[in-house]
Amino acid sequence: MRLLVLYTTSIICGICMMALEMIGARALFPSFGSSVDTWAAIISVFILSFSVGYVLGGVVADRMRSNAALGWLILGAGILYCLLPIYSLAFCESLGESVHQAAWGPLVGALALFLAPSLLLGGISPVLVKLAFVSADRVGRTTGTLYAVGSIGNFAGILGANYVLLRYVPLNDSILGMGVALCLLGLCHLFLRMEVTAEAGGGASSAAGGEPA
Amino acid sequence: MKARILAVVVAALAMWAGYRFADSHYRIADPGYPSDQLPLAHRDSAYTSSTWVASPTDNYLQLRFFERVEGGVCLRPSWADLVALKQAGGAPALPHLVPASPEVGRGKLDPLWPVDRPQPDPGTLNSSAYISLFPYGVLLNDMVMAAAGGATAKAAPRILIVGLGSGVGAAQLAHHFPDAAITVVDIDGVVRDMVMDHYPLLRWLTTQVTTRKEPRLDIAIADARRWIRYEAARRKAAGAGFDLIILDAYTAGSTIPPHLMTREFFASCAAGLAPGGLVLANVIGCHGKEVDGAIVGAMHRTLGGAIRSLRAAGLPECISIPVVYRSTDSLGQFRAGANFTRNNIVIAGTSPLDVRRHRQGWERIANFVHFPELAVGAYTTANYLNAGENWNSSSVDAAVIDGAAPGLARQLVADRQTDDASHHMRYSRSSDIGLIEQAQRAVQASTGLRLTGWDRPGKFLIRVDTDCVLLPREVSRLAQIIIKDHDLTDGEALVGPLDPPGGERPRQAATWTIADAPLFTDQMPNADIWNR
Repeated sequence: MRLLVLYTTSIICGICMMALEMIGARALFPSFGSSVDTWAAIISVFILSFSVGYVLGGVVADRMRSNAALGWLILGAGILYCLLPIYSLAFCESLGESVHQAAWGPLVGALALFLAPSLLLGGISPVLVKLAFVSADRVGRTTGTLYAVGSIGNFAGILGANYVLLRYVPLNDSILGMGVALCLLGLCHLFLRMEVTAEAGGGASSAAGGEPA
Repeated sequence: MKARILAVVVAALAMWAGYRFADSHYRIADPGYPSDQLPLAHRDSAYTSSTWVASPTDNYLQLRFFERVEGGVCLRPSWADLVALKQAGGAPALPHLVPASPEVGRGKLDPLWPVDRPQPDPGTLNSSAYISLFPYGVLLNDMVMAAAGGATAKAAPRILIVGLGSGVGAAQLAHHFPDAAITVVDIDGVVRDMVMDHYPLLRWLTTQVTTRKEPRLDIAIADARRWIRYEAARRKAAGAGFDLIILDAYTAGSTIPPHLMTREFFASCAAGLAPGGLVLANVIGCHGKEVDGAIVGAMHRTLGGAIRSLRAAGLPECISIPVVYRSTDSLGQFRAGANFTRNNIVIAGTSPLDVRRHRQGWERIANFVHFPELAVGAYTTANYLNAGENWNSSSVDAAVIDGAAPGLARQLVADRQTDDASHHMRYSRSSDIGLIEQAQRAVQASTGLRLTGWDRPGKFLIRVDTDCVLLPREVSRLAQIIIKDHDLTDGEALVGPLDPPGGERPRQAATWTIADAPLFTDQMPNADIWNR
């Protein structure tokens, strides 16, 4: 049951991560165009965000005792997703001509829009590993399965965004919908408590769950 | 140790195989292409790979993107032929295409040019049909034509073309409107380099100026969305807005970049127009959903969406002209269902454009002759096809078969020419197996090549004679017939009433031709998705 919850969390977050990449790209096009500069900016910013998120998530994982930290991370991402429709297009528009015309312009837009939410979602990976830890001789299988499930979520997110969301749902509604789903998921983790197992070192630390950033 | 040696060997093999068997740049052996097509130059960019391909027997030079034909210019008449054309008095017939000295425009040879390939010298005649309707964007513009006293040679439009392709669109406009200032915006600098290096006439045009001292041709490398928003707006503010914006940007697979087909983008185009200016979009799509009862895709939504979104962007007067140019998709078939996927020329502006309410403009079009200096019958092609189920053989130069089998051509039966059929192409055919085999033997004897579709007899031997000068005139003649069919060409009849500014009209029972035309907005920018 515990693992099922964690896998479900991983898959939902995986979907939202990549669906934002596909859908968010189109929020940059009107201001920055659809050139290869724009795609390079989007892909690199997402990868960078995950990288930073993994490090910070690792720090959080070492200090946490329960799934509350996971809840905060997902809730934070969900809130940012919900707010994106308000400022994504307007922010890109407000950057002005000098940024719009620059080759690095789309990097500014992508960093501003996608760094924070993707960083938070990247951060859940080490946290999930910590929560799923049962014993040292199963750690390989556990982390492997978690990554696999998360990647399946990525896969579903990209295809779902392409074949369903982009076709039938306005961009803002898609992102808002994912934001609502992430907020609900985060709240579930805040309210349904799940302790870190003793073997994972849950009793050793006294720190509260963490909000990075 | 063994494993490590094995790893080295496998890696070395892989590297060698990758080098040795890498795919050729020149993949041009698709069925239906002429047997003599010759790849001239190839370059890759971040956006596409582009190849110049020439076919002397089919009289074209095409710039193909990812092996797809995107546009073509006739090899004959060459630029030199145009320059040599003289009027009765001996003066050049086309003085605006004559360089100051013969060397001008030749430039230096592209260093990447293969030594064994000829350097082309194409003129301005187009072999792509839809290009032929570009002049309509100027002829329908009352302000430009009034300022020129109705004379096309005196018209001085400022024209923006989004998407360079082979450059034939710009060449054709420069031919008919000597004083036009043409700006092209393309996202890909490599495409510009290909055109500048291998289309000397266009390179020369960039060095020439109009009577207003503006460049006759200027090519900007930028994403059109940004360029129009900033640079076009700047020119408009300086009193030099565009009289015509031609939207012809495509990516591989006949797909329009989605951010270049939204209400918001069209609004920014409208903002860059001079008073009376028009937007002319080349939209690949169709009117109907089904062909012979089978759904052919969503192409009708692309066309409908373009019309609906242009009208919602402050260009409410809109017409759509399907480009019909072959007798096989004649007007009769178009009227019966209009279900071919093809180019449509969508023209939008703020004043009426349809035949009933813009008589003056359509009279100018009726009086306009494409390439009046060029003689009919002088620039023709003749090819044979060994047609199976799908007409899928390579086409062969008629000289090959006519030389080896004299008298064969006379035994073919010409297709009946109707009023609706186009007259620049003549088909004659035979299903006589003796004739088909005779033609096959002639092909094998003279070329020694195994040409696609010529290894066994097809159902028909078909000869296609094409007059390249009549092609643009025929496309225009057929367009003037189609445009009278209000229900198939008027924007409102096609997609229904206007959407209110910034919003969407309420859903209602749809009785118009393209009932489910989407409104493309930045929130739902789906031209690329529906364009299948």
